[in-house]
Amino acid sequence: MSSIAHQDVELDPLTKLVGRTAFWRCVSETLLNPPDAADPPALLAVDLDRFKMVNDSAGHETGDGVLQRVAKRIRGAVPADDIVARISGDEFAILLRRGGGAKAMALQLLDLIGRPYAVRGQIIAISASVGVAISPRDGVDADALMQAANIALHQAEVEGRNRHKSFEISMQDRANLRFALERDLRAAIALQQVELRLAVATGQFVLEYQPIIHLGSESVVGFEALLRWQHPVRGLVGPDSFIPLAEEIGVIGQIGTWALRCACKAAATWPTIPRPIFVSVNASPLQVREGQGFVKAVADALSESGLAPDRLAIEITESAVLEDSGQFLRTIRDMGVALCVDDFGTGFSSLSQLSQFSFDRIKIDRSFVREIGKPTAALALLQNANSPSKRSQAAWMLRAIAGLGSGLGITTVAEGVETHEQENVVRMAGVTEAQGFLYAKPVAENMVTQLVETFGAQSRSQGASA
Amino acid sequence: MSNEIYSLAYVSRSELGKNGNEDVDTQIASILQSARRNNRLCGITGALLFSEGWFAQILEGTQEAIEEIFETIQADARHSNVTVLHFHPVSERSFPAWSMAYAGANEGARARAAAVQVLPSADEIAVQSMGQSFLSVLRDYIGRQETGLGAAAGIKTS
Repeated sequence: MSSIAHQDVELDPLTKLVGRTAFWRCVSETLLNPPDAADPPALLAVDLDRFKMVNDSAGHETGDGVLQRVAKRIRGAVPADDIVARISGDEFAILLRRGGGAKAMALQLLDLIGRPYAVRGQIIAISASVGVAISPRDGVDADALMQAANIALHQAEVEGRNRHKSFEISMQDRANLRFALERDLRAAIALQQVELRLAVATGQFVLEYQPIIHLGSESVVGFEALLRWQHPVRGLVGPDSFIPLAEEIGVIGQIGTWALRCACKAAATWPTIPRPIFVSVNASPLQVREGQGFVKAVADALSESGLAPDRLAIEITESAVLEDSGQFLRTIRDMGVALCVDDFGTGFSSLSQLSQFSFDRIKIDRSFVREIGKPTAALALLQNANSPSKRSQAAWMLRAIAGLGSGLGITTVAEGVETHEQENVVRMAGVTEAQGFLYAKPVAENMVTQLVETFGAQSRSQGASA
Repeated sequence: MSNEIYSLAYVSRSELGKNGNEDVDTQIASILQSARRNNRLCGITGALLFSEGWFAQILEGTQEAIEEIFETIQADARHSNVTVLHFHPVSERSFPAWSMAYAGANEGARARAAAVQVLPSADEIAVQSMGQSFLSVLRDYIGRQETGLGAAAGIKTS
């Protein structure tokens, strides 16, 4: 029996399991002295999926009741001389001194933890993710083995949770890459803050601006600010590669605040004649969730730059709208800032929500525009009157969203317009504005004024010739 | 904890006879024995229906007792895929005692159930007022599931 039985180990008062420190000591000792050389020890890292939701919706007392029951279910399934620990809030770890059955144990735990709970008069359903690491293959000491189990756990979560994953070397490579990217991202954010303080250009983040065109007058009405990360060694890193990481490690607020300040400062220098050009800045759902902090970031960016509030638009996804329980978006709109729903048509917004939040702009998801002009000859042959092609569905959706916008007095914007055919369909559908490579790629800040003038000259000359 | 009576009902898949060599009748007898003892101790009444492939159980008792017995039931490997149908307070108990009945269609199994002192039919469960309709819901559920299973088995053998 391991040393844990002999020592006076302090147990977690809620679950009566050992804590992280005692567990680590136990793993170390067991790895030095495995009971069966032919069947080496294994480690299981268990994380409850979206447990925060249980606490949020059912209350902490119910959450604690679930944790107690989870602990008991795990303890009941694990052999008596093996160790079960509560590592943190909803993380558990298991040391199997004979690790041969680790995979079967993982499956059994997923089953047991996934069964319903009756707590404080309510039925609660949760699931779990499990990472498995076997010694000595996946780690020779406690640190390495626990790290391997956690990497496998992270992989199980990435692949959709409610599953188990055994550690593989390729996961380690991916984890290393992610770790390096995280280090570089943190460095870039630090540099950016120096830049803001000292007003020097040391930063790796830059904003590019893509014009938004009014389809009626064919003039530029505003620009969407797009974040770019130019790393000295990595080169240009796409937002898809670093925004999710920034959200995960909790630095999205800093990046978002920088983008707001930088975009407002730039837009304050843009032309106001014949009409003021606005700037549209993206905000992550996690930024919006910061509530009062986000409102302050917007207000600070405006006051620092002196930009009129009606020349700033904030773009948010449908999910951010749904999460804004504190009505912070309304506060921002009351400041005079325009609100814009991004990627509309892919989430679950209802008409009632749209009218309730009083948006100024709807950006129609680019997937609808993309369907227009796709080669559909093969499809057309197959299709019959009862099954409209994706293409005609897309056109129908564009019409529906444009109609919805004009009915509610909301400007609609088609994103990703690349061809004249797409522009025609969008225009015929009644969409108000468009954005895409057909008009211009995102440009550097110093190109903005020139771009506005070029479009102005074009629309004037077209107006004259008409 | 208040003395208010709660009712909890669930259905689950039976794993009896899938692992190990112990025969199903012995397992049924052992479930009956331990459930009777435990339920009497903590004031639980209700009914457990079973067939070849399914369980359906109604439990009545204090919230605390039900939540405790429910955890014990969840830890049991003899069933899986537990779906809770309801968990709420009731004005009075519908089941004066706890009993277990065979609800499948197999006549042989019905006879063997009687031999291990399990009720041979859900009709023999002592039940009052509101409980009657819910009991028939559970019986129908098991009946429908069994018909589905029967059809699948038919495909296999043909």
